[in-house]
Amino acid sequence: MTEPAVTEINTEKIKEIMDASRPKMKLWLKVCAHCSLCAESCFLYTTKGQDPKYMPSHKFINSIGKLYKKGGKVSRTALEEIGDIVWNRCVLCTRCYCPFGIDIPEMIALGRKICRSQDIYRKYDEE
Amino acid sequence: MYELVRGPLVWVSLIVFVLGTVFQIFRFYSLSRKVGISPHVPLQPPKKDRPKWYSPVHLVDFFKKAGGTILSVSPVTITISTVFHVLLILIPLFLLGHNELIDLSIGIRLPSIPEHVSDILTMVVLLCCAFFLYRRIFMARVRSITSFYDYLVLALATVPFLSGFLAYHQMTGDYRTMMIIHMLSGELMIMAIPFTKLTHMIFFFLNRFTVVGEHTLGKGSRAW
Repeated sequence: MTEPAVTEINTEKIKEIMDASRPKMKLWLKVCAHCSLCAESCFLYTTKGQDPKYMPSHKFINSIGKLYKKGGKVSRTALEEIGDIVWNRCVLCTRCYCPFGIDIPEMIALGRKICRSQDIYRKYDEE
Repeated sequence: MYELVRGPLVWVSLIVFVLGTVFQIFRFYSLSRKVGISPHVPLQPPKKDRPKWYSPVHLVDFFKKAGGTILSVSPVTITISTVFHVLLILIPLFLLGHNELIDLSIGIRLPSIPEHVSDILTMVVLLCCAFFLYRRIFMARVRSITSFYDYLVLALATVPFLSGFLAYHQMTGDYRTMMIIHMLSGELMIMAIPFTKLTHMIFFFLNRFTVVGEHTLGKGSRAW
C-alpha cells in the first residue's frame, strides 16, 4: 500500500464528524466517574500486565476525550497518538463493562472514524 | 448568613436539583431511541410457572448471577461503593436533625433513625470516602485517569458528611461556622448532581435499566 502523503490536519472535517455525535459523547465523558471498574473487562488490560493504558476508560479519555477537550484542534502528532490508542490498544471486541452503561466501543469507533478521515489507520500490509 | 443557608438556599438547591434532573432525563430520552425486545434478556416462562418472589430460588439465582458480574471481579470496591452510595442517600433523608428542620419548615417528616446509629453510619461514609481517596492516590490505574476535578467531586460528597459529623460532636470551636459549612456544602452537592460528574447518579439508573445491552439490569427497551 502506498504511504499516504503527510498532510495538514483538516480540523474542519474533524469538527464535522465530532459535531454529529457531540451531545452523546459529551454526556458519556461527563458520566464517566473515573472509577476504573472497566479495567478487567478488557482482555488486553489483563494480558498486558494490567498496564493502565489498556484500561477502556483510559483509552477513551485520552482519545475522544482529548479531541472534545481541544475542540478537534490537534496536531498530526497528537492525532497519530490518538490513532495508536484507537487502532492498536483496542480491537473493538465490544465486551467492555461500564457500571454507568457508557458505550465505550462507540467512542473508540468514533475515534477511528476521525483518524481514518485524516489518513491515520492501521496498515496491516506493513506488519 | 446562617439564616440564608438554612432557609432560601435550601429551596434554591432543591429547585436546581429537580429542574436539572428533569433536564437530564429529557436529554436521555432525546438522545436514545426505543427499540424492540432485548436479545440479552432471556425469555421468561409463563407467569404461573415462575417461582414466587419469596422463593429461595431467587436468592440462589442472585448469587449465581453475581458470580459472573463485577462483584466477583472487584468484591471489595463494589461492596464499599454500594454501601457508600446507599448511605449517601439514606442518611440525609432519615437523619433526626434534618427531619426536625423539615417538620419546622413545612410540617411533615420522614421516619428518623436513632442519632447514635446515624452517627456510626456517618463514620462508615467517611471511611468509604477515605477508601476512594486511597484508590485515587495509590492505585496506578485509578491515578492514571484522575484529575483535580475528580478530587473536587470526591470533596463535594465528603465535606457535607465530615462537617456534619464535626458539628454534631462540636469538635471545632465555632459550632455555627461548622454548621454553615455543612449546610452550604450540602446545598452545593445537591445542586452539582445534575451538572457535574455526580450526574452518574441519574444516568446509572437511566442507562443500566433502560438501555439494551449485555449488562442491562432492567428489561432494556432503548438504544443510543
